[in-house]
Amino acid sequence: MMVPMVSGLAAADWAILAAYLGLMLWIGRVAAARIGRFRDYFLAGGALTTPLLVCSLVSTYYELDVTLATSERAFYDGLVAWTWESRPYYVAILAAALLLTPRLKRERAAMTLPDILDRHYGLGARVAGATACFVYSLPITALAGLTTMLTVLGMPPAAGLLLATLVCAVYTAGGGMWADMMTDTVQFVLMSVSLAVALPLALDRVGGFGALAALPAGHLTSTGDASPWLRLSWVCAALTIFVEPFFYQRIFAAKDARDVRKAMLVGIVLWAAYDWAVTMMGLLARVAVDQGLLPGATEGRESLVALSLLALPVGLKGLFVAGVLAAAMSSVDSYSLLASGNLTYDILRPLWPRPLLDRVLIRLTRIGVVAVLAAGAAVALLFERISDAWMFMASVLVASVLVPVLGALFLRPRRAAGLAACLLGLAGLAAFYAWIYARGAPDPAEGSWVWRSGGVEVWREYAVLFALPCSALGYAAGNLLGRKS
Amino acid sequence: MIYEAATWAAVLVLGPGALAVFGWFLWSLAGRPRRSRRR
Repeated sequence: MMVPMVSGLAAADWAILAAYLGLMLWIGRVAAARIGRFRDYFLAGGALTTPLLVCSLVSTYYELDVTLATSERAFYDGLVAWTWESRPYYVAILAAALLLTPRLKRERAAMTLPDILDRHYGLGARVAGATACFVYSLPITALAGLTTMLTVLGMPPAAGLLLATLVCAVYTAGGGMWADMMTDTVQFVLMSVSLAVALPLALDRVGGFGALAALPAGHLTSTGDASPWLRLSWVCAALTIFVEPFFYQRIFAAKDARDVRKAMLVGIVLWAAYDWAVTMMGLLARVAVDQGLLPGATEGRESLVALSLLALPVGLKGLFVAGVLAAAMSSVDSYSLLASGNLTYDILRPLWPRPLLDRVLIRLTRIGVVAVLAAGAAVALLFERISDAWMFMASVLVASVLVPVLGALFLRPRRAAGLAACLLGLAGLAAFYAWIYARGAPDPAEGSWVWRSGGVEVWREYAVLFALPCSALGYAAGNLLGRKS
Repeated sequence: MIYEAATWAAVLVLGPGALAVFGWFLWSLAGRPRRSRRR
């Protein structure tokens, strides 16, 4: 059960929040004036420089839900939240920066990941890939994280969510990627600085580093109690980096490949620092509960915000809540633009009987942004438990497009290989889920499903481990049996 | 203690480091050549 805390925000805190939201709207208005072609709207004219990319990559890839999940893992399981759940991503991002970025910049005229599928495999693979990207990009988990936080803060969740969604819709639909990038820079500063201020104050409040000695022994080891298979499934989750639609959009929007590579390398340092700070906050919150500074019923998910509000003085509380809002909004705006682009640019445009003019495409994408945000907010309000949604959405994306995209970029496949890999990957994923829900049993302690037999355990989180070989099989079959290009 | 060093390093990266990146962004905006009205 969540413990609604008295947020204790003073007039100065509310003023900071109002100033933040007003600034977002103003940026959206300024950015809207720069829109001419669809490329301006969707890729900011392909003119993004390294510092803009750093701010945007770091803030967008940190969904609020991920931040909360990392502190929750640290609260319950310890340092493994950083060593095994976060660190694989840095390796994957490094590999993507060095290997993927130069290849992608050679894909001339491409604007999205489905453009690459279309070029190498045709329209069928484009539509299948765009559908998977759309499912992945729906900003459901970020909005759900925001709802949780508003509840924890003692604010009305429906009104707060609608206000944040409305502000996002106005500046994203109006200013497109320029607005998204400019607001990301402000959001990046707010997220990072508020955490940098909260961590030392939280440390001071619980009695310094010495207080960590009171934690359970497993909390301070690198593996904790996580099984090797669970750690492998976390490593596999990092594969999403190679098909992350938002990375592709940023790479195509960059001035050149070196800008993206530099931004990703600087980003790794910032991501690692952010993850470490969030992990430490989870550990310190656990100590604070044991010391009686936080209520005994405090849940792992609310630990980060609970500890921050305990440690921060008036004024800085407002900065922290604005930082939490920024963490959610920086992801919500980027992914709603991407999801709308999947519908209009990737699917509707090639299927439309006549060429679509840029101004029509921009108008349709704007409508799409508002529709995606409205749908996301409705799902976040209607369903209480959707924290597992990200794993499902990421599984759909990886199972369907990882093999064909890497095949297109590094090999010379036949056209049939793309659609076959997409469809067989999705079929494998559907078969796994049908089997685990039919034969497995729920595990309330882990909040998951598991099939057990003779000491062997198969968890729902292993879905990608099963679907990826199916996708590779489809790719090989299509390559073997398909017509030569 | 390694946790202490890692934590203070993270605070430095997220505080002064993030502000430096923001400064870099502002500097890149200011450094962009203005478009001439004359052609």
